[in-house]
Amino acid sequence: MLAVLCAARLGRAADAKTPYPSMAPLDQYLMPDRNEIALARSAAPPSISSDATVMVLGRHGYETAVEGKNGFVCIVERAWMGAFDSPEFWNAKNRGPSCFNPQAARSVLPITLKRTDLALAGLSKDQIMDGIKKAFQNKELPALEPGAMTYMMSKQGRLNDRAGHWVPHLMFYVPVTDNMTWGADMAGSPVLTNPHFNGAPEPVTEFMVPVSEWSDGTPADTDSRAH
Amino acid sequence: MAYLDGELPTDQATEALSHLELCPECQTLVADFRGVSQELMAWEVESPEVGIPLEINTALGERLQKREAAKISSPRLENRVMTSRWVWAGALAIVCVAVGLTLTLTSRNRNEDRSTAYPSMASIEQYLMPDRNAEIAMARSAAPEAISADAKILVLGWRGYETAIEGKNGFVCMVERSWMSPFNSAEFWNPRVRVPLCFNPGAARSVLPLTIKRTEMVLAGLSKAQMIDSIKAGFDNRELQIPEPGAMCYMMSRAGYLNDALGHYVPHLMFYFPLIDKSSWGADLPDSPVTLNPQFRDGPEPITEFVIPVGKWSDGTAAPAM
Repeated sequence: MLAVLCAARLGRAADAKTPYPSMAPLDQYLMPDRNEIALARSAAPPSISSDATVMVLGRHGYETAVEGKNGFVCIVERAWMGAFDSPEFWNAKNRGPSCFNPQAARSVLPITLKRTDLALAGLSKDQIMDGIKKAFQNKELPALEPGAMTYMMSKQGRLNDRAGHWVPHLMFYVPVTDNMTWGADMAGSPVLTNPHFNGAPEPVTEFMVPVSEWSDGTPADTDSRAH
Repeated sequence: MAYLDGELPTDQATEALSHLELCPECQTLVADFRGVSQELMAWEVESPEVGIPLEINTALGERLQKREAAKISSPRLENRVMTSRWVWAGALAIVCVAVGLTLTLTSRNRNEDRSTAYPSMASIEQYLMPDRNAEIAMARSAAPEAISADAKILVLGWRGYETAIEGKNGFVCMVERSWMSPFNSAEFWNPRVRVPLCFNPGAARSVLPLTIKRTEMVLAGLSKAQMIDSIKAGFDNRELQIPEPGAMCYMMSRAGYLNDALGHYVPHLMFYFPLIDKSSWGADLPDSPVTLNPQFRDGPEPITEFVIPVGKWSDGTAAPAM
């Protein structure tokens, strides 16, 4: 994770040199529906994802491909869900399979949908950021629900160029807070802070906890890759 | 029994351990089996007199005295001896029946205690840790040093938890005792239980008061029913509150003893919420890393508590795979 954080921080200084300075052609972000549904479901164990709603990215935003019945929503996020100062904000290869629990589906997923709509409308990073700020101000985006969390246990994902599929983990959303309130990023702590959101501009802090297995039940090498 | 005897392969033992954490009935059963094993190992055959009712003992004594007197006064010793053999045989039969009856009744009494290996509170001394520094160290072992070194530390005293060390990062570390188990737990009064944990600031404000409250009531000698009523009233009158958003705690100590079935279990984090359905976190579903902690389930506290195992103990050493 430090590698991810370092990459993000290095990116601030080297933004002009990023290999992904602007949005690629839309087709590069799209996937065949069947593949995207399977990838989205790989974010959580089948006992959860097989009954989840699945959304796939279309030319005009995310669309419901499969109606679910357990309140979870699984999707494959794209690079524009990274931190706004990430050098990979427009990396067309990134695929972030996520299964939002019902609370996150109601209160965090709308952020993904909003950012995506703005990105597909051709807005710049600054414009997207402004659009998100305004959406929170005018309450177009909902307040965070307690207990919002997400499964990210796919070994088929690609979070960014450096991390690849990284490690299976869970993500927890709380109103913007100091990372120390969860003991995150401290030596020996299993809790990490995700660099995206965190008040820039979304009023949400996102903590991550690596888990030991991928969604298919195979063991993960969490130890060597999470720190 | 194979699990208790340590005969299972590691993967099956781990699976059994995982299941036990979620199954209060199984925990009771394990504690029961373990108790039976310990009883058998410690069993000594008692002298028959212990099991003979007083009336029978008295009657036998009187009969013996009469026989002794008859021995001295009667010339027909042989017949008397033969007769007395039958009498003794009869008496022995009575004794056997009495002993058998007593053992049966004792066994029934033990069976009645099967669900409560620890039926009532032990003496307070058994719950206290005589070495204050040892309790401080155990409390701190719940989280990595980077967190617990600056945490406030509470230790259990005769009248409740006391602040042993003031902290500066908002975390509070302590060692909980068995009465923080579910009220229907067979180990509610197990004096060997030691549960080190470090509450984050949100939990220190909203969950720790539950521990303080239960502890004060226990030390005041309240019954379980009284405690349950008091906790309900505490939530009703807002003396107690539901967990703050983001309330969680660290339980990464390998020095703890959660209960007879689990020992120190595995390092994990716990997350607290106002009552929610466990399915909203995908808890207890196949291959889900999230489990529901039964601690407050069906209890007076309107709290749902999820557990997520982590890969290392607080000292940085690797934990067994779950």
